[in-house]
Amino acid sequence: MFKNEELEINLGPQHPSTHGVLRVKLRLDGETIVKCTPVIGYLHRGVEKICENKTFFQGQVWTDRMDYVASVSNNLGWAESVEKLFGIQVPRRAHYVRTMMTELNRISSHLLWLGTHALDIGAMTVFLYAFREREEILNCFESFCGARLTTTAFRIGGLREDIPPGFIKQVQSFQDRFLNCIDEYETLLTENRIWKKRTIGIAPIQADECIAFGVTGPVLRAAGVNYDVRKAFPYAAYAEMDFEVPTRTEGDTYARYLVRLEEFRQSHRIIQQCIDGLPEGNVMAKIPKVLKSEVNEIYHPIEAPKGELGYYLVGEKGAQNPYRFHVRGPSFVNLQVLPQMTEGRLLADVIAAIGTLDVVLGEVDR
Amino acid sequence: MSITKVWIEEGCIVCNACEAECPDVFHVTADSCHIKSDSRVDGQEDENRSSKSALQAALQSSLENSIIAAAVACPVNVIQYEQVASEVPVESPKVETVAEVPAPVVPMAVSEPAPSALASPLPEASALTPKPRITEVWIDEGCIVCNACEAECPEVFHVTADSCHIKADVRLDGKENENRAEKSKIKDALGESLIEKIIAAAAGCPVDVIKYGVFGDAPKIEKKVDAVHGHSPEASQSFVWNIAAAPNRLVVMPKTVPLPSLKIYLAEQEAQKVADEAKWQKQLADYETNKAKAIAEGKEAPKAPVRAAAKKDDNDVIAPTPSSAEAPELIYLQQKLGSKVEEIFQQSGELVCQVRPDSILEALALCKDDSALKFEMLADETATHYPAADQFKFSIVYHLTSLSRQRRLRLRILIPEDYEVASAVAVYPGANWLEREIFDMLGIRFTNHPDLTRILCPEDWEGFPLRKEYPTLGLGQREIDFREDRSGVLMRLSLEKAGNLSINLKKPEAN
Repeated sequence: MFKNEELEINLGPQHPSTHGVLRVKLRLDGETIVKCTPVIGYLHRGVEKICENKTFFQGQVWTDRMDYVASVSNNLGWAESVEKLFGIQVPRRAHYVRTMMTELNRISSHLLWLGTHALDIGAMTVFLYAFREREEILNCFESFCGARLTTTAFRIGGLREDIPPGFIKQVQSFQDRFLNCIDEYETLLTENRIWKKRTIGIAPIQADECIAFGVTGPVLRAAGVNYDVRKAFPYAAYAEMDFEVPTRTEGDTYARYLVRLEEFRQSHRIIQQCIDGLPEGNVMAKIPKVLKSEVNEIYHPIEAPKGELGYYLVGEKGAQNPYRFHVRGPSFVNLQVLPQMTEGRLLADVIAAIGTLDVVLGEVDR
Repeated sequence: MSITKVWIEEGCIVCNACEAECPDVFHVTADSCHIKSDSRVDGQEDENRSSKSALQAALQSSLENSIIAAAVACPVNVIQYEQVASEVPVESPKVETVAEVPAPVVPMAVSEPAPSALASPLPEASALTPKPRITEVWIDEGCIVCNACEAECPEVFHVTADSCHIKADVRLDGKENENRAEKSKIKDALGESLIEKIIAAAAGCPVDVIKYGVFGDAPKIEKKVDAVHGHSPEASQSFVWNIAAAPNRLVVMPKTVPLPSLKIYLAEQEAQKVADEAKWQKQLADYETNKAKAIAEGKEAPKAPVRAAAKKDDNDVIAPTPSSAEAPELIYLQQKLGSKVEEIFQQSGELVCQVRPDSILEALALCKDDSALKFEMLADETATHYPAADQFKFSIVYHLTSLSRQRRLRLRILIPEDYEVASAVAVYPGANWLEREIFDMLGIRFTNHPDLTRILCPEDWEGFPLRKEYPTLGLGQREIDFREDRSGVLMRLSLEKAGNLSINLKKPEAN
């Protein structure tokens, strides 16, 4: 009476829950996914090629536009990569300010994730709560560098200017409020029965699979692997910071939610240490006006909110622009495991899986 | 051409670029830069700022190229010079490489009729038949000052900063800068000897503004194949593009091979040392002869030369140089793989192990599984294009991370064009997308890859964007094929719209 055949559907590229322009080809058997193929490239702008034709100073502007939710982290990666390529020694105060800004950015990125992820799954309220705090962080960015999203926050060699007057007070007032805010999110979600039903056991991925596919960030840590670039290969001022790397072992959507919530608290701790221990001194290293590189190649990873963000730079002797620039975007590598997470499971869980991977398509496609 | 005067205007940032290019003329001190006294006619030093300083006659033409190179290299453009044309025409230096662009066949203006077909039957009379020659050559409006014609035929064309004209000494009227509007007759002897070069220059003009009149049968010169993009005109027909609208689509190919390597670095250091020593010995010898001369003439002896100390640099920059491998991982890898390892070294605190391309899979498996290495995760895999290298064309780098031991390692292979690398997916499944990206961006193929298709560009994309010969602006817009659009209305509309948006599209030819 009824025909039995598999149905192939397109999820995206224009779909609100794909957080950008991601297209997922799904072959369905009823509501079960038989095959899942992510198709990417809709936002490809050729950032690598463009940066190869810009000077090192101009390149940073382009890093804002990759993971536009975490532009400060991208800026930090660029600045530190170029500094590593040239061997520039950055003052300690600049390191502290950079660390503080990057952790604020981690919180704002996770807040955006939390709000939209909860919205996808059906919890409307959290979105408004999360954006309330995110607004405050963006205000901090605005007073620091004049921009809210595309920050271009740092300069090669340090900071363009010292932090503005009143900035520490502004960050401190956010700090004072934020711990209570995390508790608010938790009351809304952590023990919420619907939330638990929609996340526990959903889109699981285990540690060995994560490592094989190069998955990093909260997704890896929720699978039980204690790997965080900030601890394993400290950069900026993280070697002097006291913080913990939260891990869970379940490897499902709920575990990733808990890991990210705990990262809020750890970021909060790091910011507080940066405020309390902010050293005096210069914020800019003495570097030549025209940066001309030597022959060198570097790969510099940092822990972006989504995972390990690595920049690969090749310097040509006497050139003012990189000979080769490559971005190892955490979103790009993490998105690879979407089929592993969803195949054999239900269609509705794809939305949860995309949300919990926390990909930003600007970084996937570059 | 030779340079008579050279001076430096206000605004020097003391960057050493000019001294690197032309140490015989420029001398950079801690806070300023000046023209060396022994190259100046007046023999003074530190006087270069406002006055124009005449150069010594012997140096004028010999150092011309390096002075121009120094002026070009100056990041703030404060080096000025006066250049005069000498009697003997010297081929002016080519400054940049210019991409040849396929374009339709040059419209030829034939001003004089070909000699009549009534050829004399006598064999000696055929020698009397005038040879074909160019009678006139001029440049229409629309020159993009690309230097292509001067590179092809420097005897006739001269490209200045903002225009291009026919040189005065080939024209009958002897005028320069007059070529725009009128058709200019050129000297018969030159028109005959340079006919092939002029036609080649006209054919090579990317915007087809070089026009000429020809007497007799002009030799046929094929439009050159685009050497830089590797496209013949036929191959790039799917792109409709117009170089005049986007002249910066021209590509400047890299001239060096920036491959970090301890061997290359040590060889360069050694060569530099030898060159420095030779320069110092020459300075000493010059001093001795000058001293002997001065004593013989009863003059005061010149100052003894001082060996230049290394330049002091108070910047917070310690340039990372490659050093020999000390990390246990690298030494262990070399022990295990033996001759399959080409080079191991460290730079910027990163471990680099270059292996032979055919043993990369073995090296990756060893790194992953060996209990002393345990690089469990492939963090990144990417490639770099080195068009200027002879022995290889690409490098592929694998960045491995050991989560348990918290170490990093870079494996590197150098491969020639068309070499198929063994895919790393068998060892690290995460290499799947990374290798698809390399294939998409650089056109390197991998054997045993489960799904080697384009990932970021559309499936039908042409060319490999991260190769150095690919213009940053792209190859141009492609023809749009609306399969359902039988009357062609949509297509024409879209093409017109694209034209209004000044995208490089030409209207399709009417069939």
